[in-house]
Amino acid sequence: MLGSDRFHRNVGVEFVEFHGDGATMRLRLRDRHLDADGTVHPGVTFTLADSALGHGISRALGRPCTTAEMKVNYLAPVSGGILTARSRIVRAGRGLVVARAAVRCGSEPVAEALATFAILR
Amino acid sequence: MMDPVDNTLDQQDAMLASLQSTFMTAPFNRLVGIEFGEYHEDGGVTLCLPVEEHHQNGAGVAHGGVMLTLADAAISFGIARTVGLRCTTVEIKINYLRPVTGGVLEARSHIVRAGRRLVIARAEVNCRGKQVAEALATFAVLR
Repeated sequence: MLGSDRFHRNVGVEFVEFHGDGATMRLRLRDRHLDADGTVHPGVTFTLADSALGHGISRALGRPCTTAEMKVNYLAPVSGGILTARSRIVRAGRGLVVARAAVRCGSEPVAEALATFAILR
Repeated sequence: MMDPVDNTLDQQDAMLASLQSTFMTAPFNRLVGIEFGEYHEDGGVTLCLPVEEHHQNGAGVAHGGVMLTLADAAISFGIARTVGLRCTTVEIKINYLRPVTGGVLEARSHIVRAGRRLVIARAEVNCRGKQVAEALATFAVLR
């Protein structure tokens, strides 16, 4: 599943580790990740958080899942460095999982995500 | 002598062309493959994205980040065009309605409310005649 995700590979998302309640993924920022204003495109940060959430949830539950809804608050603009996203399951139900992810650049909080995932049967 | 009205229209066209070029050449928009669609009279913009294999996730459908990137770009472009000031995404939320296996994604933005500090806007993402996602965003006006 991790290796077959073409969009992650295309963007450059890397797996770091699984935790009991989530996962950590990272992304080394390059020029190709920038938006028109020279800072990281919101879609990049979103994609990294979504990947940490999706992989963390499916690993923790042992089931494939898909994003049903996700919201990201952007806390600070970044234009370089390494972004790290750490996801945590807030509540796992039978059909839906609520989870959040924190995105940092070094020690600086960059974004906070809250998502609803649907468990696939 | 040049007609002042035509002159103003020319300037507006030039500014819009410059804005379009800025958005379409932004590195990540190019990496993802976003294409310009059309302008709408209400200030919104439609941007398109032909779905390719490199947009897929491990399940073989378009990654949620692809739809989000397209929706954010359409909203951001619509706001820049309408408000005429530099803006940045402070919050965006997206609901995924259907999985996308192929076709052309079309994101159409709408400005819901433009205040002095914040702009609320949304975008619907359609593919093959069906809505596949709905995004709602808060942008901050930069001064």
